[in-house]
Amino acid sequence: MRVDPVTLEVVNNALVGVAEQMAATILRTSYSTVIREMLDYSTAVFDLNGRIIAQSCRIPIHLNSMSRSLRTTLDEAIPIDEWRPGDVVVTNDPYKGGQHLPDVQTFLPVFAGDDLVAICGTLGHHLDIGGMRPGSYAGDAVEIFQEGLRIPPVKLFREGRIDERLFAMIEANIRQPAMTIGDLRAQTAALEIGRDGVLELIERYGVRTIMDCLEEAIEASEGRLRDRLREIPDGTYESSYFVDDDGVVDEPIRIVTKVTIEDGTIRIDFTGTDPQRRSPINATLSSCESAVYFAILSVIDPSIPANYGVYKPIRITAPEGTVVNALPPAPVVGRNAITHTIVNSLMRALSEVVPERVTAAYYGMSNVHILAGDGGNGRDSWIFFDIEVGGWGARQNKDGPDCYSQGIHNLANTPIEMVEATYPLRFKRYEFIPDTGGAGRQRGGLGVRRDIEFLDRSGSLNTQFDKFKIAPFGLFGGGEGATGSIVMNPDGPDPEDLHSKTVDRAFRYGDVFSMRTQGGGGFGPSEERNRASVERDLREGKISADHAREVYGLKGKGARS
Amino acid sequence: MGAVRLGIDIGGTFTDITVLEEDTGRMTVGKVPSRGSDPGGALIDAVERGLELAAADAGDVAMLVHGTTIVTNAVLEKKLPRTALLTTEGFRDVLEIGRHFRPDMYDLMQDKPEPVVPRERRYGVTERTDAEGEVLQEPNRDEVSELFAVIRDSGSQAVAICFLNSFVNPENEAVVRDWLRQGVPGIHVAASHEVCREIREFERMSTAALNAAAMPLVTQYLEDIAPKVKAVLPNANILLMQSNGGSLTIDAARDYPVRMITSGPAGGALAVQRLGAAVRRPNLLGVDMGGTSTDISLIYKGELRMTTEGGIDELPVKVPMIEINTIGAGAGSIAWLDDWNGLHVGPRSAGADPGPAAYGRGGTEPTVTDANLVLGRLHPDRFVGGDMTVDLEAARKAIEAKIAGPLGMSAAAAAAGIVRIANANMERAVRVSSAEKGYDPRDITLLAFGGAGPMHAAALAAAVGIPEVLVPEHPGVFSAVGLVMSDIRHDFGQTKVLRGEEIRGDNLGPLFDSLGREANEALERDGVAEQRRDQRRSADLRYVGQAYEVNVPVPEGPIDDKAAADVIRRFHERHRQLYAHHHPDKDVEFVSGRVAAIGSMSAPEPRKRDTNGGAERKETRPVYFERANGYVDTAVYDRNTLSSGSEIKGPAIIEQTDSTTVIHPGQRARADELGNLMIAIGE
Repeated sequence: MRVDPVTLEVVNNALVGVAEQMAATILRTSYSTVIREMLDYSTAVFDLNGRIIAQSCRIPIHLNSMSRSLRTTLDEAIPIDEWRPGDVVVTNDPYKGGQHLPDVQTFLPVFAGDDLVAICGTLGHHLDIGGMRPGSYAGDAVEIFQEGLRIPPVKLFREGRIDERLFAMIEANIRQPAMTIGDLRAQTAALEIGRDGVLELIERYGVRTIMDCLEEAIEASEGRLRDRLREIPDGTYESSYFVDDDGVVDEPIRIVTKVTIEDGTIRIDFTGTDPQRRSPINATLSSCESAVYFAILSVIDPSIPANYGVYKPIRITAPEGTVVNALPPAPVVGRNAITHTIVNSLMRALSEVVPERVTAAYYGMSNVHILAGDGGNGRDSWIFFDIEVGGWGARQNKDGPDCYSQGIHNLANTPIEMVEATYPLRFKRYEFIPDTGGAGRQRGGLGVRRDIEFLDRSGSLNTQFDKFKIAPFGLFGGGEGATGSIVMNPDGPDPEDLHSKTVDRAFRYGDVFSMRTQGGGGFGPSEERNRASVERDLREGKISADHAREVYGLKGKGARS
Repeated sequence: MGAVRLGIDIGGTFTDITVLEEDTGRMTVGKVPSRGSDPGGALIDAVERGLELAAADAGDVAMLVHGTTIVTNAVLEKKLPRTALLTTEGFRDVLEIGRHFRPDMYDLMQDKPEPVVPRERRYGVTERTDAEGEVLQEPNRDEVSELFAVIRDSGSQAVAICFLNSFVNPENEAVVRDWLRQGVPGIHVAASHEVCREIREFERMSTAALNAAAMPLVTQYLEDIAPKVKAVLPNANILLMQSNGGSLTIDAARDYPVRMITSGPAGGALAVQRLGAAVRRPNLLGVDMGGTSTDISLIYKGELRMTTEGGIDELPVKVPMIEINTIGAGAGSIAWLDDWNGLHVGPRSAGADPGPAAYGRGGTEPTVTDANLVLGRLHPDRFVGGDMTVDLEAARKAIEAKIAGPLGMSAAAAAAGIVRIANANMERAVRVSSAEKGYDPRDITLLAFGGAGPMHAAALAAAVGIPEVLVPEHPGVFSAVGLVMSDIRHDFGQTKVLRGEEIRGDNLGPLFDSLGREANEALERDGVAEQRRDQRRSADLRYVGQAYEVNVPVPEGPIDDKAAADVIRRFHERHRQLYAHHHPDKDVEFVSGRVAAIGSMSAPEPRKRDTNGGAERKETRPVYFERANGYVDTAVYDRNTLSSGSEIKGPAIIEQTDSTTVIHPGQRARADELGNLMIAIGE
């Protein structure tokens, strides 16, 4: 051991504290609702090899992404000897370690005296980064060039001075520059808070001790994961699962996950997965890796700190040119249809050996919807971006929670009153949909219905939903969760079902956009569900009387309602 | 004897008592065991014990300030009375959907917090108000009337009402509230705009639901105790402590019980502020370390920091409360090894039962208290003032078996490590409370209290860079001291969004005038004499586009354009101090005005005592200090024998019935004329 266990715990605790202070700064001072209400951002401190020393990761899909971007930046764009005090490097390139263009990452070097000792980083999802559609979710993009401004690693600040021309170039290419610039400032302020925190720790413990603690923490995470994996019987466990379609061509996309556990390692082989699409449903390797790391950690042992060490026992084979390792110029903004499907498929594969640690399939998509006002004639243009979630998958001994973030994202909804105070929108409904949870000994979580009325003169709707055709699966005899849907003017004379990946649908004053999210899958046969739980669900209106009778065979007093 | 004030704080294990004589400032403190099932009985026990301790006459007690955890406990134990909820039609599930963010990113076995009101008792009402406050649809009397029988039949004792945008215009909520009161006689009703008039429907709904559910409990409790107290203390005005550091009359407590949810820690924070003023220390960090957790509060320039983003048990409570950061690190926190021999302390706690291994009640896991015993900082025979003896060997064995052995360390080194990690856990929270807010630790005094605070404070201060630690005379019952110092307080707020040029005198003036009137009326109802009434105004602002506001004081006097400009200037400054950047050229948004109505109870200055400077050493025993890398002979003093002016050089241990203070090598402590210990931390 390089450091004693007490120093190790004390230093690691302090480092996480620094990342948390950075995160608090972004939360408090950012502008767009995507960051400030949905909490779509992360912060971290890295060593000079781009390995995470400490992170405050709010969103699992950001796992490893910043680290990969920083490593690519150091290897290919800005070598370590070109970093100067006060520099801020910015990038959003999915093909350089990023995930999709709206996620803008910033990095700042930490100098102790003349020595570069660490790098602070932040990642924030920006409201708009240009491209074909407001909110930069263009469901009809066939090349990344259509998705928005792609920024390779470049210095936004040089030795404390902002590069005004670069800033102007960014501003000229995006729709809501005030928001984006405000959020970039919040990210920069967080970097400075992080730098000061790291320097204070270095003064107290010395660079050497901190780096020793890092090595120690990496070793511990790796060792703990290997130990856990050795407890699981060696073998190959296989599953595949589908994305509805890519929004351009109406065919399901197959994802194959073959998991091999062998002497403390776990290999994930995606061979057999469909080729990349000429649509935004593609994941770069970086997105694919994040999904795999998340699934493995959450199933195998959620208590292991997620640092570089946990990546070592995990081997990923993702053939190039498939939807899990897309090559340029494939567009990628809709990559979450792929990543959620990877997580669900891996849980199904692992359910064979560790049924007590997985869930049945959850709703399976970051249900992105972007409502935008066109502006003009003295009206401002505007963009409202939000993501809705659905039901969790049921667990071996527990129901799945109703409408709760699961899987590779973790988002808060935007308060209705905040939306109505900010945009010409009015909510009509936000409630659970009965009978959407997959039936089973343990019931899957319910999806929700959220209806929004459009009150501007003209505007547009863009969406990225999924699991409208392929339902969230149940496990061990549990039923499927309900599929989702989106409907225009559901209570009017002509309700119209929309495609899950709707592109640039026009809005007129008074149109109502209604989304119904997916339920989670059930666990175990529904005949085994205990009567009290069925009766409670019925009393609460989470299942209907018909459902109670037909699916659970509830007769007698409880069945009347 | 002149008028006397009694402060009684009923906690889980002990009830703390403070008696303050108004003429002389003399304060007497004491403790009696709490009676779990009969808090009213414990209250009367405590009253009698207090009178006895202070040799006071029951007729002289003019004021009884009571801190109670009945609301808090009912929420934590999920024993709230049956409650119903009325919402805008189509939005009854907002309470259960919540913000749908999960607290643990990886844990697949976690569950959502249970809603205060289950779906079967949540009802929609056809009504709507828009974001500008225009009523789009008025509630229909017939439709609501149909719910009367449903609510009665559901067995609900209380109803909460929360309609969308009621914080802008509460008309619809008020109408339905009145119908309910008539239609379902005897039921408790809480309308969200009265409990919390702020934007964000889920948080407001959660607050209103908790408030409604607590109303029957608190009403019953107050009906139980009020006559009993009157019988013993015929001349006492009964007040209840609330989370904002002020007190409430019985009537207000019945209507707004949710305001009492963090009253215990708030009493502590208030005591920190008042003692800080008495010793002329404007910037203080209060560290209240108890058995299972530590509460951290911050006073800056003499002001307590308030927040409306508190909560309990994962449920948000959006009423103004003193900002207190609670962490799961206390004297009973358990030290443990993960499966890769990583050493951690907490958040699991041994609590009072079985308690630390040394208690000999079946606990085998080593705690922070066990570590302090092994280090010689606590004396096994003088535990809780000698009322209890504990088993040092059991503590040592637990540490050896669970920590020292597997790590190949000595028991002493492991114990020192446990204490260091516990301190580091607190340090992280302290940094969140101070450095993150833009305050310089070098300007701060750490005020340590709670049974375990003074044992850890000097090391904690050194780690954070705080130069001075203050240990009050009675650290173990210090929170109850806050009760007798509290003023009556009501907080009023009104959201009204104004941008840029709109932030003018003619917009702000009427807003603050109306809040001021409400504030004055509340004090009038409480029977506070006019010369004792005071108001404190503040405003929440943000840059256009931001979601979180920054609270800044609003100057006294009429609000003209100059005063409005002053508020904006203060906002820029505060934003820079908090977040290291500001944008004087950017548009500012005024979000809410706030007025705190204060009924001053003008607590007397604490009594000074004579100086004679003596300090008698009680014994010398070996105590472990990291700086000395082992046990060193350490002088032990009895706090009672320290007289004002006496100086003690570290290393030293100062023992008293309710706490033990540790002074490290190189540090110096001095007893001041108010009975406090001031420890200079040195470099």
